[in-house]
Amino acid sequence: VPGVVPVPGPARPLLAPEVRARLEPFVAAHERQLPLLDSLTSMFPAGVARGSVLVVQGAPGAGTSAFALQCAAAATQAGEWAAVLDLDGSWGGRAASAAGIAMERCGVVRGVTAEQWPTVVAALLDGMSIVIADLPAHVRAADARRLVARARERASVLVITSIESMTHAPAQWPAEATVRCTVERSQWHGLAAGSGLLTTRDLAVQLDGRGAPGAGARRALALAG
Amino acid sequence: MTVPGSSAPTAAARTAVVWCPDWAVTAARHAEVVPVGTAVVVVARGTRGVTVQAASPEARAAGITVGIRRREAEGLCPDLTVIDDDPMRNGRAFEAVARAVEGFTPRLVLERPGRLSFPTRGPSRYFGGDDTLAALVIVALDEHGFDTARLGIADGLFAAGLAARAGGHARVRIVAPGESAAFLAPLPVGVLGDPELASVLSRLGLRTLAAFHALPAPDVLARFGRDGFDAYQRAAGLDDEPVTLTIPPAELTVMHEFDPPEPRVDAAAFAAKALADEFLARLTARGLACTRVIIEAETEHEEMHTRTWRHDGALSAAALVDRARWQLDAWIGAVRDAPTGGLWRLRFIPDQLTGAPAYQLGLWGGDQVRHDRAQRTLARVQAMLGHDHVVTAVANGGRTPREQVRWVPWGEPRDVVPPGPARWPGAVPPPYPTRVFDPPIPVEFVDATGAPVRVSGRGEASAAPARVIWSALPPGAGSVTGWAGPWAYDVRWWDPRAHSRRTVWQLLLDADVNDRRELACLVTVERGRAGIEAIYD
Repeated sequence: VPGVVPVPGPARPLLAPEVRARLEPFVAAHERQLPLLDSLTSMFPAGVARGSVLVVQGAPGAGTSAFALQCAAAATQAGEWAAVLDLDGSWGGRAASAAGIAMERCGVVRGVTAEQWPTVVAALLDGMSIVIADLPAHVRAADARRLVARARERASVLVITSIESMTHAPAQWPAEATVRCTVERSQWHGLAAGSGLLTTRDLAVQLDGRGAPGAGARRALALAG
Repeated sequence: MTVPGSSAPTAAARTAVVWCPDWAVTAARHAEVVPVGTAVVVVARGTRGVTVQAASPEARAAGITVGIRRREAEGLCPDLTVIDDDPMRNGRAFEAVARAVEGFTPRLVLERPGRLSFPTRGPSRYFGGDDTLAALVIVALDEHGFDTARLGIADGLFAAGLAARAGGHARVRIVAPGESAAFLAPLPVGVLGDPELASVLSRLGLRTLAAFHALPAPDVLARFGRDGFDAYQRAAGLDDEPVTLTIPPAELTVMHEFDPPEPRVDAAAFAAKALADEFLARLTARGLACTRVIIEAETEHEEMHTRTWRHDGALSAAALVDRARWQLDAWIGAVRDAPTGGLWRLRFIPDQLTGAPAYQLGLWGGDQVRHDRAQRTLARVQAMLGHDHVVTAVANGGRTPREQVRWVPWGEPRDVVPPGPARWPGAVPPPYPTRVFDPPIPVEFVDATGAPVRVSGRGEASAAPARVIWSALPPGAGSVTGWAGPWAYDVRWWDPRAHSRRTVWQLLLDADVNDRRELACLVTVERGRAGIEAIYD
C-alpha cells in the first residue's frame, strides 16, 4: 500500500535460536575434517578442521616440503582437489606422487610474483580443498589476515610452507595459524659412506597453536622418503 | 538404439572445396610481411620443437618439406626467410578468399584458414556446369592474387577435399557425379585422417580405401566402433556429414547486444567468450554438439557480416571465440565494405548439430560439483597469470628427478607414458627428492685433499667425496657423511656436439656441526661442473 513505510524496530528472528539450531543442515563430524593419513593422528589428535591454516617451517633438508605433502595426500586420494603454489619452480612432481598425492587433482601454480601472491592464494582457496603455498619473503599482515578469513569462509585448508635459507631466518607468517609445525630435523637411514642408499627417515616436528596436541609438543613421524 | 548406417546411406551432395596450399605463407605475403619470390617458411613450436608448418614453392624447390625442424630447413636453403606462425594473420587474410568466392554462392562454409567449401548444385546450374563454375572461381581467385589456390569438385566433402589436392598442375580436378567411389578407391588409407585407424588397417594388409571398403559393414562397426564406421562410409564416397537435425531449434541461437556499440575487436572478442560459453551450455544441456556454426555480426548502421564455420569434431568455446575474432578482425580491417559503425550485435547460430560425445562420470569419487569448482578456479588463475603458469606433473622417462617429470599446462591432455624402470638403467632410485632445481645450483664438490672429485670413463671415482662447498650453508660448506654413486651415463651420445658425460651422487651432508643437522641431496657433475640437482627436503 503506498504511504505505508515499514517501521524500523528491533530485529525479531522468526524462530527461536534453539529451534533454528536444530534446522541447520546436518553436517557429519567427519565432513568438517580434512581426511588425514593415519600416521598424522599423533600430530593432530583432534584432526585438521576445514578452514584451518597450518604453517610448516624448517631448515632446508629438514623435511618441510615432505611434511606438507603428507598433510595433503589423504585428501586428494579421497577425491578432493589440491593446489601447490610453487614460488621458485622447485617442487618435485615425482616426490608428490610418491607421497600419495593424486596428481590429476593437483594443480601446480608457478611464476607468481610477491605482489600477486595474496591474490593468487585467495583465488585458489575459493575452489580447492587444500592449498599448499610457499611463503614469500614479505607478506603484509593485513593480507595474511584476509587469507585466514578466506580459508575459514571457504572451508579450505591453507598450508603455508616456509623453508629458511641457511643464512637467513625463515620468512614469518604474520597472522594467526591453527597449528605451527616446525620441522626440526630429519634423521636419515640407509646411506653410509660409500654404501647403501637413502631409504627412510624420521622427522622431528614441534607443534604449537590451538590445534596442536599441546604447546611446544614434539612428535616424530616416520617417512618412506 | 539405432544402429548407424541401418538407414540407407544418403547420396553425397555435390561439393566444391577451395584449398590454398601452404596458406600461412600466402597469408604472410598478403599481409606484406614477406616479399613475393623469396624462399619463405612459416614455423611454429610444437611437441618436436620448432618445425616448419608451411613452405613457399621456392623453399620446397630447395627440398624443404613441412614438419622438418627449423635448423634443418635453414641448412637446406641458406637465404631462407623464417617467420613465426600467426593464427590471427591466417584467419584475417582468408577473408579475402571468402570474398572472392562469395560472388558465386552465398553458402560458403569456412573450414579453417586456407580451406573452404560450398555446395555446387545451385551455382553450377546457374553458371552452366561444374567445369565453367570451376574455371570462373579460379579466375576470380587469380584476380585477387591467390594464384596457388586449387579447386576440387566431387560428391561429398571428403572426396572434394582430396580432389582439390589431386589436380596436379591443372589446379582444378572435377570428379564426375557418381565417380567418387572410383576416384577414392586407389588412395591410401592414410587420407582418412585417423592415424590410429590407418596404422591398424595397414597392419591388417588393407592399404587402399577400396580394400577397406570391401570389408562387411557390420564387422567394421563391431570392430572399429562409430568413428571407424564413419571412416568406412567416407572411404566409399558416401556422405560423411554427421547425422543432423533438420532445423536446429531457434532457442539454441545466442546473441549479445553491445550498448554502446563496440568499435574495438578486442572488447568484442571478450564478449564473444561469454557468449560462446552460453552457446555451448545450451547445447550441452540438450546433449548436443555443434559442428557448423553461423557467426553473424551487425553494426549500429545495420550492416551485416555473416560467415559459416565448420569444424572437424565439435566446436569448443575457444575455437568459437577464435573464429569470431578472425571474422570481426577481417571485416573491420577490410579495404572494401568495411563497417562504418561500431558493433551492435553478435549472434551465434548453430547450423549443424550432432549428438555430444558421450561423457561418462567416474564411478568413484565423481563429485562433479567439487570438480567443476576446482576447474573454474584453476582456469581463473590461468587467466590471471598465463596459460602455462598452472601446470600438472606427468611421469616421464628419465634418470634424474628433473628428467622424470614433464610439466603440462593445466587443461592439456595428460597422456601418461608409464616409465619402465628397465628402460632407464642408472636411474636414481626412490625415495624422490621434494625440491628439484633446474638448472642445478652450482657448488664445489671436493675430496679430502680439496681436489674436485672426478669420475673415470669406467665410472670409478678419483677419491671418496669429503665436502660440498656451498655458500648457502652456514659454515660455507658441509662435510659428506654418507654417499651413494656415482651413477654415470652419457647424455645425448648420438650427437657429437651435445654429447657429455654426467655423474650423479646421492649425498648426506652434515650441514651444521653443533646441531648435527642432516641434509640429503643429489649432486650432478657434468663437464667438470658440480651442482645441487635436488634436495630431499
